[in-house]
Amino acid sequence: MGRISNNALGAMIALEAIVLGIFAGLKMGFSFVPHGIVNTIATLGGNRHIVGTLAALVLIPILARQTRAGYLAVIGVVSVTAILTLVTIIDLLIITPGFEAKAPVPIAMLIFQILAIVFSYRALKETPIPDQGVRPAVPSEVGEA
Amino acid sequence: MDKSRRTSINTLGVLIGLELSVLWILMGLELGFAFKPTSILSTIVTLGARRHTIMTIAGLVLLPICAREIRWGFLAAMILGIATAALTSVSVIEMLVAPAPGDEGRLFGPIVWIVLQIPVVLFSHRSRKALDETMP
Repeated sequence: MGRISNNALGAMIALEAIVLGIFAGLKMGFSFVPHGIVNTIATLGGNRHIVGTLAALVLIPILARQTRAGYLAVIGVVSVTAILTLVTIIDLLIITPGFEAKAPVPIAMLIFQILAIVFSYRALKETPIPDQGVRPAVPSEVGEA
Repeated sequence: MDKSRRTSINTLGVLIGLELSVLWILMGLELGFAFKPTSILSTIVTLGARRHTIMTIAGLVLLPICAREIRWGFLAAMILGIATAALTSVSVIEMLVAPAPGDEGRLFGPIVWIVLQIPVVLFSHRSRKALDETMP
């Protein structure tokens, strides 16, 4: 038994902040309705907050295992979500006029997503690559030597 | 990261239990769940209709603490699980004994939520025991 590293803990807290943000939004009556083609695609038909939350909840115990595959999964999944969030922000601020007031929430989400990626990357860097599996010596080869 | 540094199975059980509890409430909110107490007892046991919010936020706070494998974190998770299960059980009993109009179809959610507290309490207890054995 051992304690989780600070970087893995940082990634975990960032993912939790995402879940908490969505929870607070839903509690306050948030219900998303896409308003254009770009927005519909970037928000996965208005379901991105649910898909992202489910992904974060699945990734938290994987992070707690502190494996390289887990960190790579976090970096991969959160990067895709962050790109979609960035497209949404650009759409809200530039492409579709009149939706600027809705931009702060996805911007906050993007910040937490970046934090999750950064901490996962740092945790990945400090995790040694497992042994490639050294072939055990065959007794006959030992005898020949 | 060598295997000795990895989170134990019991801790992982606590984390997954807390997450399922949070997920259940999130799904309820997404489906339009909005609780309104119908009696004084209901108001008390649902903490003024804020029980699901308080327990969910507490669960999210406890997740990194339990991942850190801190002894009091597991105790807090146990207390949270027991308190949630006890309060929700009272709600379920009230719904069965003196149902308000529309309560018939609303039993499923709290019953599942009670069941989801079992792994939280069980694995927290096991994790605490394991910690006591390794660090007396």
